[in-house]
Amino acid sequence: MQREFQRDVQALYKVFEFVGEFCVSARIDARTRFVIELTGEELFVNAVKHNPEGKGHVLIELERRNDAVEMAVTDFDADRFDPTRFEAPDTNAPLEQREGGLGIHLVKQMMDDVRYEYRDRTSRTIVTKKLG
Amino acid sequence: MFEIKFGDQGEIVPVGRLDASQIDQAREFFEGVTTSKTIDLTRLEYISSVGIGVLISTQKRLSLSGKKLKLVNAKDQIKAVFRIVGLDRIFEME
Repeated sequence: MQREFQRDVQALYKVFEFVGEFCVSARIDARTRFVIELTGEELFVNAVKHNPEGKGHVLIELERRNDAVEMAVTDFDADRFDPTRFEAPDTNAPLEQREGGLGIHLVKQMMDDVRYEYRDRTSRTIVTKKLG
Repeated sequence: MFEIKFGDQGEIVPVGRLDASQIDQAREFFEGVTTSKTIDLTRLEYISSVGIGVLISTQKRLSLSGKKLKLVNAKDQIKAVFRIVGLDRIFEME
């Protein structure tokens, strides 16, 4: 399944609707759905927040492949933003030293695989979550 | 759908899904919190990094005056998210 979304945080509820439709049709359990929703939000909001002037919509694709779910989030007019090269925040740091960067960290920890492709200003993050 | 309010015992009660589209409401609420509080997460169904960021920034601000937030009754998946970002090291959790 695939769907395009307006580049606006307020479109997030439509992203969740899409994930919900996919999870029902692909018979994805509630625990995995939570992880897909969270990852979808983090990647979608990242595209909106870091590229508010980008042209066009943000594409999200979801597919079940035997024992895994694959999700791809594509921005067709973006600078390179490679989450696989993102330095993890120090989650052991004391409170006063805590800063941002938690979203990508969550994605990398919750998903089994994170890949990134960039070509002709098309920025695409592909994540995989194993089932079972 | 998200709402946040004070419970009968003065605890903070977030209800529903705290995602990026709801963050202004949460931020405004927590800006008004100036004393130590327990957050009862029984009815919180979902939280993403922006919501966690508001909890951390509130905890930081309160800690300057010796106050703190305590998190109770989080669902298992939300607890797992909190552990991934190390929230259990900077919040008391039950």
